Order: sequence, then structure tokens, then C-alpha cells
Amino acid sequence: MSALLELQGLSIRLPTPAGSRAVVHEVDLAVEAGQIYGIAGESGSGKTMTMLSLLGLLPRGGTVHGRASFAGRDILSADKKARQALRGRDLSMVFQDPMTSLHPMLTVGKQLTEHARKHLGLSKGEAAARAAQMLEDVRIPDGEAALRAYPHEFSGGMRQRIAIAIALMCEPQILIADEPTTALDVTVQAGILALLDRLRREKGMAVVLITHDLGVMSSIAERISVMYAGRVIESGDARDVLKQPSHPYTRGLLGSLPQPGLGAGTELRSIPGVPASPLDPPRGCAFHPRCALAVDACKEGVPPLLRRGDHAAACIVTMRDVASEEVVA
Amino acid sequence: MLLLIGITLISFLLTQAVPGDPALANLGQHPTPESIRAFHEKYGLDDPLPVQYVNYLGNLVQGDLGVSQQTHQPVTDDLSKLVPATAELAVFAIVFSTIFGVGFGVLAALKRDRAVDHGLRVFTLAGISVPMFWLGLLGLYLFFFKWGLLPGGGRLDPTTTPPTDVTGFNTVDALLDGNLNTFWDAFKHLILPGGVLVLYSVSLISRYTRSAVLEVLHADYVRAARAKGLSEFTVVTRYILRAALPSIVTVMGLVFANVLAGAVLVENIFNWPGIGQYAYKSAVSLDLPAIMGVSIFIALVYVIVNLIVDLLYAVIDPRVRLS
Repeated sequence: MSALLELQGLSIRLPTPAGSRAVVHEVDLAVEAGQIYGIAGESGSGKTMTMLSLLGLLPRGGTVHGRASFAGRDILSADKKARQALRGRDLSMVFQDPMTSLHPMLTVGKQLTEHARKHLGLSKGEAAARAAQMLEDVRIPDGEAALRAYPHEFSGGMRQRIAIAIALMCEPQILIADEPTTALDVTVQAGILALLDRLRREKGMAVVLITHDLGVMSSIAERISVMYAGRVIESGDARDVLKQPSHPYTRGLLGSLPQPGLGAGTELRSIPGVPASPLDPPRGCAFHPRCALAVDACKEGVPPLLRRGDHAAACIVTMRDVASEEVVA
Repeated sequence: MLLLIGITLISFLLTQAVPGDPALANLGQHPTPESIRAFHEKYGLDDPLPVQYVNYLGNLVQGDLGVSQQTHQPVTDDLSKLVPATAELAVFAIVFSTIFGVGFGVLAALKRDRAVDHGLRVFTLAGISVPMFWLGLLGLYLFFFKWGLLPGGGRLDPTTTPPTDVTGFNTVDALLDGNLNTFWDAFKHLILPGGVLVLYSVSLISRYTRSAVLEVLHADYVRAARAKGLSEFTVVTRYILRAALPSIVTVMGLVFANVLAGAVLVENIFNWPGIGQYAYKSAVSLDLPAIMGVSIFIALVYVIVNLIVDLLYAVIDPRVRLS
């Protein structure tokens, strides 16, 4: 059976002052209905660009290559109108910073209802009733009054809930949440994550959760892909990836999570070096300059995603056993 | 209020600081000592300055701006006759420059660094840099003298029947009369002087709008609006333009001031019987009550415009309402 959202060999090029550069390379992803799919990676690794390309919202001059299908339909080659109809209706997105992702001069009600009226053809009253209900769903008290309020009257956590409510108005099949909790307090974070998980269960919606926080990831994601310098370098079942990370980069990410039990004085660990520039990645495996396990071969070719069962990682060192098998096969 | 007292004081002192005797400027070539003395007596010019000022203020609060030494009419009467003409010119200029200025600005921002943007940049830079009097003379030369397309001055052709005076706007009054010929004639007379004012204002508004739009073009909420699947038109008008509106309103205040200042030049070039021409005539004849009257009137308008701009901020931006 085919997945709800499937990317095959998706690459993205963006214009830069130095000419067009590939920032995302050959990404494969498959998101099933009702699944929470985590995409991890640090800033600039191409997570957000990959998702924006699905919506057709790349910055001016950006181009996408490869295939992306949603519910069996090719979405990259669809015309402008068709993609506009898809956006906000079947594919919704919640952005990172709730302080800036709502228009400061439009009422919450307007921002909740305008696309629902357009996509679903609801009347003003129907849309308002639905919006008030949606605000209750995301636990905003007194939805009726909130509709008449402006974004600045709410806290950051409340605004993110509102942004989520906006994204959910048309009951999308996939919600793309781009770092939805990064700008929020930890306690608020947990609330938002619980909310996403509950909505997924209640509405059977798939969630693509983009984050650089593996702690967030471990709590709710079922599958994970880790990106580095525009490539997926590890993917698999969330438990496998987090318990037995196979790529040195994933290990480094997990190793640099602060442990609450360790107490002050323990030195925080970090991955040495700086993230590879997606515009000008090192030759070979983009991670090799920062990798403790790197061998000479790492500087040669870009390592392919090597599979061990359901779990894949792009490392010729840790996946050596599989590497030789695949070479034989 | 304090502002208005300040304005009266400053314009009063300025008019006093001007060298020259209004009597000499008004009594023709060979005034007799007696006529000069009579003139001084009549207008109270020999009183000490503070007394003159307090007298003036006392009259002012009763709505009396004094009598023009030039027209021998109360200044308030002169103004009320002339203001509609200037207002018609100003409204024409502001309406057209807003429509085109905002349009051009949005277009330039959306097509940033493309040919349209470059073209508009040259146009608006020229519009701001070219002096108004030169533009006025050029327009007069080309459209009136050379091609004969447009009238060379005044508000109506001498042969055209003036409309019944209701609003003082010839175009509006003509429409109220249902007289299309008069309307068209009045409109044609507006095009050149109005156009000169528009060209400058449109450039100013367009440049401010462009930068205001560019500032919000890549805002998160604009991207979020697109992600909701709204049409590009809705995104531009409801999200981008709305967010740029406070800056546009600010520049509108500036434009208003420029139109009033420009009116003095333009009205003289095109013989437009408004307060700009009145201001000029009273300045050259040292007609102190008239100069004061015009200054106070313009200052008052300016204060009101600024007040309106401030009130508009609150209407546009809910965040201003709270504080």
C-alpha cells in the first residue's frame, strides 16, 4: 500500500548570491495516515525547506526536483490553483514562532475562519461556530470571546494553540508542525505535544513534526528521519533510532541532550565543530570533519542510506556489515 | 491649543521681523506722510508689539482675523472664498496620488529588482527630485502652449457657466447641477496643476509603500497566510497591505503637508484662485493680517491632519488602542 505522503528523491535548489545551490538532496520519506513522523536535524539541515516545497512555498527562485505524492496524487506537478486548494485544507502547516505567525492586526476569528470559508464554503456563522469549537479543542477558554480578540491579547503558548487551531480548521489529513514548541516554555511544550497527540488520535490525522529537539521527538514520534546538510542520514522506527542510533551524528545529538539527573558541574557534551553549510558541504560524507569515527573512505563518496531491516543510516563505518552485503548484492 | 498659540506667536513675530513698511507697500508709488500716518492708525501699526499681539489674539478668538490691507475685505471672508479652490486641488492630488502611489509601491515591492521595479524607481526618483515650479512650467509649455490639449490656468473657461455654489468644488457642484460640460471643463482645469502635485506625492507615497511592503513581505504571518491556501490577492490586500498601512498613513500626513506647500507654487503658476496664490500675493504686498490668517489656517489644517493620522493608527492597529 502506498503512504499518505511520499517523497522520492526530492531535491531543492535555492538561488544564492553565488548562483543556484542544492540545499536538499534526494530525500525519501513516507508518512502513513495517523502517524506522527519526526524529522530531526539542526538549523539549516533542510527540514523546513523540504516541507515548504511540498506546499509550494519555497522562497522566490527555489526549485524542486524529484517526486512527492499526497494520497496518490502527484503534488509537485499540480498547477497553482490545485496546490492552493490543497494548502490549508489537506496539508496544513504550523510555524515555529507563534509571536510572529499570526497577523497582529486581524482578529483571531478572522484568521481562523477565512480559509475555512474559502475551502469548505462555510457561511460566516458556520465558520464562527466551527472556530469556537476548534478553540475549545485546543483548550482556549471562552472561544466565543477569543474570536473577537487580537493575537497580542494572548500568551505565546496560547498563540501557538491558536495557530494550531487555524491549521486544523479544515480537518487536514496532514499537519506539518515546524518546531511548534521551540519558542515556548518547557511546561507549555508538553501541553502542545499532548495536544498534537490527542488530535492525531481523535481526528486520525498524520503529523509531521519538525524539531531539533530529540527529547520532544522521543515522547511522541513513531518514526524518525534525521537530516544533516540537506540529506536524510538516518531513519527508522523512533524507538530503534533513539535507542540504537546508527549514525555518528544521531549519536552526537542524543549525547548532547542535557541529563536532568547529572547535576551542576557536569560538563555538557556537544558535537565538535560547526554544522556543515548546506550551501557548501564538505566532500564525501558531510559529517566527516566532525566525526570521531571517520576513515579515509568517508571523504570520498557520499555514503548511501544503508538498511538494516527497517532502520537505515548513511554511514559506511557503523553500517559496515550491511555495506559489504549491499556491495555484494 | 498650546501649539496654536505658539503658531500665532511665531507667525506674528516673523511678520514683524520683515523689514519694510506695509504702508509703503500698499499706498502706491508716492504716499504722502498723512496717508502713511492714516494707514498706520487704521491698522494699529504704531502700538507696542505686545499690545498688537494681544489685540490680534483677542480678535482671533472671536473669529476675526483682521482686514486684508490688499483686498480691504475681512481675511476670514477672503479665506472662505479661496479655501474650496485649494481644497479641490488638494483632494484631487491626494486621491490620485494615493491610488497610484500605493499601487505602484506594492507593485514595485512584489516585483522587486525586476524591470517594473527599476522603472518605477527611476520614475519616483524623478518625481521627487524635479522641482515643482519647473514641472509646472514644463506642463504649461507642452500641454497648453505647444499642443493646446489642456487649459493654461484658472478654474474654468471664461465662457463656461459656473456651477451653483454648494460645496465650492467646481467639479462636484457641476455634477450636482447635472452639467457635464461644466464638470469636464472644471476637471480639465484641474489636470495640470493637480498633476504637478500628484507627480511629487505619488512618488513619495510609492517609495514609502514599497519599503513598508518589503518589510512585511517575508513576515511569518504572510507565509502562514499562504500556507492556509488563501489566494494571492487576499494575501496581498488583507495581510501585506494591512500590515504596511501604518507606514502608508504616516506618509499621507507628509504628503498632505507637501501638497499645501506645493499649492503656493502651483496656484501661482496656473493662476488658481486659492489660498496659495493669496498667500503669495499678501506676502509680496506685506499684507500682515492676510499672511497671519493664511499661516494660522494652514497650521490649523496641519494640526488636524496630524490628529487624524494619530487616530487612524488606533483604528488600523489594535495594539495601539490599548496603550
